Amino acid sequence: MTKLTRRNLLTGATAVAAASTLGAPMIWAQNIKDVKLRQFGTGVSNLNDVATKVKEDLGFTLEMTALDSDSDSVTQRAATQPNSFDIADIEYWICKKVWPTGNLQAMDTSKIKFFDKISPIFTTGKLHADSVVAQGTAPSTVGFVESADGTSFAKDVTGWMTLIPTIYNADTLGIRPDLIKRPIESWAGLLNPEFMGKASILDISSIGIMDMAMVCEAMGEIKYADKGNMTTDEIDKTIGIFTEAKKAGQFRAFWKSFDESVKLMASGEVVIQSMWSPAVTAVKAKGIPCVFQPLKEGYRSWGGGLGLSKSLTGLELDAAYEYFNWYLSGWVGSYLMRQGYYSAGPETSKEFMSADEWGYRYEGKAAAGDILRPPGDKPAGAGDKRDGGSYDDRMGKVACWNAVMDENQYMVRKRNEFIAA
Amino acid sequence: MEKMRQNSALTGWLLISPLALVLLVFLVVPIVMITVVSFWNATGFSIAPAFQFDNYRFLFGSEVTYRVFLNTFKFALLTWIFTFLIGFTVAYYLAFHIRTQSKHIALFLLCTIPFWTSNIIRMISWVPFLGRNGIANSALLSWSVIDQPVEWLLFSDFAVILAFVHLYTLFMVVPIFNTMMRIDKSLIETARDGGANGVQILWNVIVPLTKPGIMIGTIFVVTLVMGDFVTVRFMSGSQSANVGRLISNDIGLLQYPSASATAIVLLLTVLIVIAILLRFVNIRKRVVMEPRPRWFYVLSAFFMLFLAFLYGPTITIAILSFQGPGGGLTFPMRGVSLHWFYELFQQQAVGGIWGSFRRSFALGLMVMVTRVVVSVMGGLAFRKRFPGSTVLFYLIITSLVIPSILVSLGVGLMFSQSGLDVHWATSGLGARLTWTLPFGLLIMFAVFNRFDKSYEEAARDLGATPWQTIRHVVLPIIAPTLIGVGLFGLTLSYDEFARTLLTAGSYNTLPLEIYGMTTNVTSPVLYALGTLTTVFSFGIIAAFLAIASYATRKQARAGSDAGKGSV
Repeated sequence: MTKLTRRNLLTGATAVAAASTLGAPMIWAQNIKDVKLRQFGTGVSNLNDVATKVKEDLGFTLEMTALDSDSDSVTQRAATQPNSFDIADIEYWICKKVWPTGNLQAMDTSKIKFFDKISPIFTTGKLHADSVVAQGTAPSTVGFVESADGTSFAKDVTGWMTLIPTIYNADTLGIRPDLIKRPIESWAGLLNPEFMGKASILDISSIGIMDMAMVCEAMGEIKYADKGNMTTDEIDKTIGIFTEAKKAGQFRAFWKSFDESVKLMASGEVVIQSMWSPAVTAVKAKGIPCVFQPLKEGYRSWGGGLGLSKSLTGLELDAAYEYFNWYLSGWVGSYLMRQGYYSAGPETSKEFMSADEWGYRYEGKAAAGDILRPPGDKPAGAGDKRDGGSYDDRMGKVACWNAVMDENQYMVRKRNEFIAA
Repeated sequence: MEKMRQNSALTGWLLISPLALVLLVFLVVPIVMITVVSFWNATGFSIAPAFQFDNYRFLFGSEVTYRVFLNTFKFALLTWIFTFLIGFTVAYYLAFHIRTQSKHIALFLLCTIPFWTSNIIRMISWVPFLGRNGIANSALLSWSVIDQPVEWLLFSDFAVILAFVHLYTLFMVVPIFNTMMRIDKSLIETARDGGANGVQILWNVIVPLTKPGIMIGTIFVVTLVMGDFVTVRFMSGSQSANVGRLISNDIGLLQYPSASATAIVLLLTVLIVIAILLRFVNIRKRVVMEPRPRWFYVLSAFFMLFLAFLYGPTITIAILSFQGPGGGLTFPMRGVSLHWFYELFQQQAVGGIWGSFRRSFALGLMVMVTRVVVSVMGGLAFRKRFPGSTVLFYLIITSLVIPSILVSLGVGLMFSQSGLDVHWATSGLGARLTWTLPFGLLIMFAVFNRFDKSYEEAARDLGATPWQTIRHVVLPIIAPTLIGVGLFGLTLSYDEFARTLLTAGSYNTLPLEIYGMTTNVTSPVLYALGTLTTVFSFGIIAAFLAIASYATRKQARAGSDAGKGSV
């Protein structure tokens, strides 16, 4: 493992480095090549490059099936079609819904080689010892169960994990600075009449409701006891405020897929909306100014992970663990970081990134040279800084996570009213 | 005599059995399933058997339900008005101004080509057309018709209706065309001799005689619109609700009982609407009429406009697929290149186009073959009298009008509750057949209605067995239509989305894959795919037409040995 080759970004040398970092794989049976694991997830992390790299590094086949970003269909698949997948790439709030179905099996952390390299966000939930776990379905609250066949989530770190954390980010509003022409500092900006007919919000219930809550709280309209677990009264008020705004014509459209959000922003249909980091990058890649605006109230965060199908046993199960270990060993993490997300094992990913990339992506430093993104876009150049700053600045200011509430069904019905209004 | 009738009933049953089986397994059982589940309980993640009315109580107790149903009716009514006006005119043109059958088939195929490009890609392409900075607004601005971009073109009810009309007008054209073809010419001549002018003939003769076709078209359009859940979401920018969206939201949240209850209410509503519509249908009579040259040009122009409308998205897609490497899914063009066609054959960041294309195409071919065989058998069966034919007929109609999401939900539930795994080639195929088979069968009804029975009698008199009659007389005569039936089946199935949604299993079909791909950065690669699909479908259709015309010519040669002495 030489430091020099490691720095050689996007070259075959990284493969060598990856192989040596991993050491000798646990299973090298000849028939590993015949192993085929079926993974489904949304297009956010179900990347073909990962499957290609798995084939190269580990020898077996990973079949990726992308579902639409209506995360509902991912939930639906995981909960009702347990035999249609081996590995479920889902978000933590989805885990909260799917775990009770018994379709996933808990993972033995002693078999996870880089367990201690996983960001504390996913274990204790506290970035630093004195941090507070944010509201909503924080990954740490649904990340562990008590035993191999535990059905309820453990409060603390145990030896049994529900999902292997993979990808996460802190989300905020995206804006078109060229069309807004003034700084936006608060989530309240979304409902500012100044942007009448030019605002948008996510149409995925567990995510959209949290954005709404951030806005209502920022406006000073509602003071939530816990945004991540609202009372029916709080739900009524929140949806009420947004229904009024909708009727007044505040929104141009709502979006459900990544692609829709890019189009809305790039075409100028919308100038302010809830957005995902790579979507902002995609708009910028077209030469259109777009900012992933840090706001004073903090971020709404989300995280995803890989779950194991209950029916997976034997060689396939070993291969799956092999895959998880490989996933946390750094290459994928660096790949995800270059997309604008964060790696669940920042330390291991650092090995696969140049000092400049690490500085820009993780430490919030100004880039020294061009920052590249696979397959070769250039989202930032020398002197640019990442919106929102360093990992600590961003993940340290998470106000809430995407959430499944106790009153979820009530909330969904109220949302139907909102859409029908 | 008694024995013959028994015999004929038996043959009828045998012929109809494949269709009956498909409908039983993939229609009746799923509907029963949905009905049962609508009385069950749901937790956040599972469903449990019970018998309670909570789901219905909530449904009928919520003001949203009524508002959403009303909105659904509004979409259905508006779409119906436009599809009817356009569809009637187009059908009139095709039926009375275009003479030969081969031209009919060619023009119909021309109309179906845009439907080969995935609906999702087409819906994406409305944005560069209708958006604030889209083609429509740019054109209107440059002509000074407006001085500010019009907002309501996109993400509005207007956009929803426009997309519906675009999708479903053809479903109005086909049945109206079919009934018009059966109108007896002499009736119109009589009217003219009686001093009626063109408008009077149209209003007092043609429209009344076309009513059955209009009704069938109306039923198609109304039920398709009422069962939709994708178009409304896309085109309204998620800002409008209809019943289909309520159901699909519930499914996504694993609230199957509540989804089932809504689905049952929707199904009943649709059936009631149809029952009301059917009360207006008159008995058919037969007729044909003289073309009127003056109208020919007006109607030709209208038909060209209709084609332009159908091809609008296709053309937008075609232009944008030549985007430069730095360009996006919307205008402006950033250079011109073949970059995206090259990219189409590379590995995408997310999703696999070709794997899912192979599955979709294989599935399409399976549907096509099954459809042709089963429809012909069914068509033949219904020419005989057999006990149970009435029940089966209503079942076929139900199968046609049942909102697509119900089939998806029902088949999905049936498989999951019986512990079977869904797979595109089993549950996926079955779910699609519930829609394509009855459709094919209806076309066969029309074909056999027009079929001159004296050919068969002649064959029989010459000593042909029933099988020989079918093989050498009936099949060759209906062959061109069969090609149409097959191709139409392929078109309907290839892009089927709603019925496949919950029934595809581990691997995606193309529309599902494309939908999945929109969860990451999408590029004009999708447009390149659309353009290639269009070119490809032109190719297939040209090939089929060539085969058909070759077959007709061969048949003509073979048949023209009259007067050449006996062999």
